[in-house]
Amino acid sequence: MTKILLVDDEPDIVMLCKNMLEKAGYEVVVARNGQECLERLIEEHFDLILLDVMMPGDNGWVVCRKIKSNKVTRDIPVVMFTVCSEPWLKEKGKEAGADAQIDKPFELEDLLGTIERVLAEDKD
Amino acid sequence: MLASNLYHCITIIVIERSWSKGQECVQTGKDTNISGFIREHWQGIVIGSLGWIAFGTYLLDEYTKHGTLSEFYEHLISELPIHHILMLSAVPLMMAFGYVLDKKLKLERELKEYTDQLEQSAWSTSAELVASEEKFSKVFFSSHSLIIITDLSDGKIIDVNNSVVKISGYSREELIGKTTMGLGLWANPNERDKYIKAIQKDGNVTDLETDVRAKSGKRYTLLLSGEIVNIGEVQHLISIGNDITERKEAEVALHESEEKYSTLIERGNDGIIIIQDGLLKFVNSKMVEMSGYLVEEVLEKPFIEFISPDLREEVMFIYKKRMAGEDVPDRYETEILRKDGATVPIEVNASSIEYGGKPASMAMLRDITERKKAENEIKRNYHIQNVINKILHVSLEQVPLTQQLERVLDLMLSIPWLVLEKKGCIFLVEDDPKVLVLKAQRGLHEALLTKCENVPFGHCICGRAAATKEILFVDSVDERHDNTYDGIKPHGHYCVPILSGAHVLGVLNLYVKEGHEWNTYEAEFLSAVADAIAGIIERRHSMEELEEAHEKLEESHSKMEETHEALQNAYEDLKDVDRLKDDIISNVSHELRTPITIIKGALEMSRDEEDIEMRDKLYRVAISALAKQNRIVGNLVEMAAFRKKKFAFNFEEVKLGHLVSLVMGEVKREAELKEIKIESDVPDIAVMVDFEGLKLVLLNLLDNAVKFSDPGGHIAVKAEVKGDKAHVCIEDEGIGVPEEFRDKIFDKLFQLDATTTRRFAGTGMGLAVAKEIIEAHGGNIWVEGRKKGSLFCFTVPLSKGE
Repeated sequence: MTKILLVDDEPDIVMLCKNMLEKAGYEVVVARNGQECLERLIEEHFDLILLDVMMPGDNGWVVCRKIKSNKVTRDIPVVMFTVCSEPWLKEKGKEAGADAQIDKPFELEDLLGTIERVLAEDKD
Repeated sequence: MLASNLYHCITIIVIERSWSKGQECVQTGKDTNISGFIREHWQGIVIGSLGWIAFGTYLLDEYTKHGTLSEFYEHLISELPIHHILMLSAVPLMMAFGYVLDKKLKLERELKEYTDQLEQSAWSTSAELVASEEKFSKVFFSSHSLIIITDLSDGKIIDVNNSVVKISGYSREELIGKTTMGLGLWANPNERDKYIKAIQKDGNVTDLETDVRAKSGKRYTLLLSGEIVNIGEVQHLISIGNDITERKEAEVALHESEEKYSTLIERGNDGIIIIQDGLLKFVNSKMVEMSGYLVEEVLEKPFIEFISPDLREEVMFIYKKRMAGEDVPDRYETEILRKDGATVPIEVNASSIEYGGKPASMAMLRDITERKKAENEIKRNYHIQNVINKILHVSLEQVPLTQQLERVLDLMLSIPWLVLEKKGCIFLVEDDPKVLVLKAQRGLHEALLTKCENVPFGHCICGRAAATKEILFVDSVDERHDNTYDGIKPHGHYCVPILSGAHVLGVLNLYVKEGHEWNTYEAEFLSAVADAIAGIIERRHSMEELEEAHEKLEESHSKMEETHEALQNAYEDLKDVDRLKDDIISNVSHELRTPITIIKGALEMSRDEEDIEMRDKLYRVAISALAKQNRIVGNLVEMAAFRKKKFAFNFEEVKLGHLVSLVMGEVKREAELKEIKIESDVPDIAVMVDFEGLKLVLLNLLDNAVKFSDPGGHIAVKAEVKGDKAHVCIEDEGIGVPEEFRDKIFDKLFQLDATTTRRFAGTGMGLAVAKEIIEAHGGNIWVEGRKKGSLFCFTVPLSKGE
């Protein structure tokens, strides 16, 4: 079963996303901030990480950079939630090493589509 | 017996003699006739009588011994005994025979002798002749002298030798048969006439110096000798010339060189002397001129007497060393003492020579008066330059002007070659352009310090120097001194105006000894000094101006720096604002979009949700998110309005308890979701506030408290009256505010980081707005740390009625 680590501090978003992804057949583990996210990554293996940018503590870009600079975790695809389509924000995500970025608010369908695409690319 | 023996003896002797004689004749081959005769008659003689023959031979022998017949006879008579004389009876026969024989022999002998002599003579003569001819020819042809043989009658050349050919450049063929005149050999035809006349008169000429011309035109000088020689009937002239051209040239050259040499010695610019044993042995005319003595007054006198007395020891020392062969400088300078007592500086260039076979010293003496003069001038110029340089140096010193001027005076008064009294002063023109003010002085009499404190232009010497702008000189205290005092000592002055272009800056006044004469050099020097002083003053002025300008510059510079700093600050502020703007955009977007995402997601999911309970939950989530979004938008609008019109405050009496419950209602839903319990202990204190403003403050603070609290936490709101203010505090159990940020979180543009900013009312402006509002009420707002969480407090004025 494909395992996804969902990192967001907004309880409603977490609830909604977790529900939908589980329905779509993914196993979902939740982390509420960057620190928790990195701890989870040490404990178990994930096939994909969904990472919110705005979080207490380290923001999403910092966390992403940490993931991508670690030998063990750098091959795990990261999909980041961003808040708008401002080019400089997108640029920041790319610099941090995100494999894909998805704007809030997003259609749940789009989220699933993006996850599937990234996973398929990862397999290649 | 004796006689017979004697005969025998004689006979033997005769035979032996005849034999030997004959043999001798045969051997020599000369006396052949005599020996032939003897040989012819030898038998008859021997046969006739040995005695006779012997006698005859004896006689013959005796006869030959005595040469003449009479002698022979005498001999016979004296020598022979009587019986022998008797025997002479046979003598006539013998005599006849002997005589004939004698005659014949004699003739023969004489003839022979003559012939021999003749032969000998002829032989030797011819040999001599040959040798002589050879010699002559050799001498003639190869002689270095020029030999010309001419026919005296017609003057034509008969023969010439090789030297003639060589020197004249003509060949023998060209010469022979021609006349010397025709060939143009005489450079001066008159000399030829003179020569010939002398020859004709005396028969010869010796050593006539004459010039001849060669074919090439080159002239030779000959020493010519001539002699007439008669050969046969013809008179020949043999002329012999010696080429003395080179000798002549050498003589001329030698003469010239001698002349030059003597000219050099006599007319050169150097005095030349030769000293031997300390005495002058030679002096040239230049030396005589230099010393002022006559030649006879110095010759044979000790040279040292003509040297300046103070330098004699030194010169003698060098002289002695030189004569001792020691190494001493060839050149040195000293002074000679003239007859008139004056001294002349000279440069000596001495060397050791031999003079009259004895060691001597030759010296060339050059008068270096002019050079010394020039040297002294250079030295003085150097001094002048040096003093000027020092003055210029003084001008650079960072000391007050008066001190600089005093230093200049000190410098002036310490110059060794400037004949000054050790007194002087410097006046400057200050505020009044027509008055000199005493600025610096050295050695001035006390009385003058007041009298000359201010000297108007035209008054006294200094004032007149200032008025005329010319150097004034006086050599004594006379009517020209306007400022005097009792007991004034005799002195003179140089008063030198200090000028800058046509502008009088001051006067330099120096004292000279009474009777001192005006000296152009001194005046020029003092004028240069005055210029240097002018330089100091001008420099001082420009320095002051410069300083002023510098101060102004510095002022404007600091102003500029201030402006720059302000600009820099403004720029930094702008940068902050810009960054904040970016953050706000980003935060607001996030804050607004997150609820939308939730609403969208919840509604989407509820559509397919069949479980009613779950659907209900999704609806509630959506409504809550919607409410949150509404509040955020409301906040934003309020804040925007507040920023825009600075909040038009409307102060009114508000019951604090009522206001708090209102705000708590707004955050209730949020708190419930996180299961946070808010406790309020706020009495209804009447405060004088703007209702909307205070509501915004409370909302911000409570919203923050909820956000920062973990689920299940507690928030307490309290209020109490302290003095004329109401204190309101909100305590939470959230993450707290680090101590170093506690003052800053209320700054308008403060942000902890992007996420923290988001938490302060989602816009990063909540606390800043709160502070602004509270301060508009004359209150304070602050934060305190708690064990867990924070305590935010503010004060507002009480209503009057309270």
